[in-house]
Amino acid sequence: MQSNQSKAFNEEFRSFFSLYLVNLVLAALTMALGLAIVVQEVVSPTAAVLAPVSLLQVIAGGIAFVLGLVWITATARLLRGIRVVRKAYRENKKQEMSPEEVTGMMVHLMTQYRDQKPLIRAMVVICSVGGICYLLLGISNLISAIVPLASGLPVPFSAGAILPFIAAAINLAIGAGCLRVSRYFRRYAKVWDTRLGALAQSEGELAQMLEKA
Amino acid sequence: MAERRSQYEIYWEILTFCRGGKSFTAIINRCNLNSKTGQEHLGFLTGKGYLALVKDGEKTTYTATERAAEYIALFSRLYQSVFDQTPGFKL
Repeated sequence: MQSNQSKAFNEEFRSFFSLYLVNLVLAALTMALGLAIVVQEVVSPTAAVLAPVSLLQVIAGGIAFVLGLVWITATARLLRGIRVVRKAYRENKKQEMSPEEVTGMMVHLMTQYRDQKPLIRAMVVICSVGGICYLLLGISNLISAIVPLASGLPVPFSAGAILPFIAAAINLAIGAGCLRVSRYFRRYAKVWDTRLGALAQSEGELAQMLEKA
Repeated sequence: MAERRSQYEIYWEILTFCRGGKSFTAIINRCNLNSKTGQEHLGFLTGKGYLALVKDGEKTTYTATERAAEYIALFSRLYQSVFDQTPGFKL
């Protein structure tokens, strides 16, 4: 790949692939967190009879698990869709790619986008919902960590007092990550919609050429 | 590439594949077409002078003509021009 166009395409493809991978990690984290909450509440020694709060946590954990599962499945479908381009990309990294090969990859990505458009739209929503849930969880962790400190009572320094802060930091970071990924998906969809629109317009030129012959 | 392709994308794929002369079976296999649509597309491209039928004994092959090169060039130019705009993020 020598030309600027090829380099730009190369970078774009690499970024999309990374976006899909980050998305997969976030989905896996959500599923794992949901499962952990359910298991913790159900297996807990005090869980002989589930208290209303625990029951709510089990339901929330279950929802997170299902959301994570749907999220992973959708991401896997996205990744499967670009596997052919990924293979070509890896092969061509070793050697120069002809302009025709670049066009072939562009055509493939274009057809993939037409196929996966509803899935990418769904991903924008899923990532946003996931991000908001994580942010809410982080804020609740933060509140539970700050309340004892704000009460004015002496709080002994212990690992237990620090853990909610760590949990809050992790959840807020994951939440921000989810929202960022959702934003990237939105930008991706916007650019690809513009490309599809531009292509639909330029198809007239191709049709004219074919008719002229 | 069996996904939602436009007819122009299918034509481009057929024409680039047929540069060296290819049989009907090879074309439909490579371009993921069924026999009926394959015949339609090849009939159209042959009729318009983008493909030439070459008969060598019992073997018949389709070869892209010079006109096909013009189509391929225009197609590539149009595609590459729509890729000028990028999403503008790097990961």
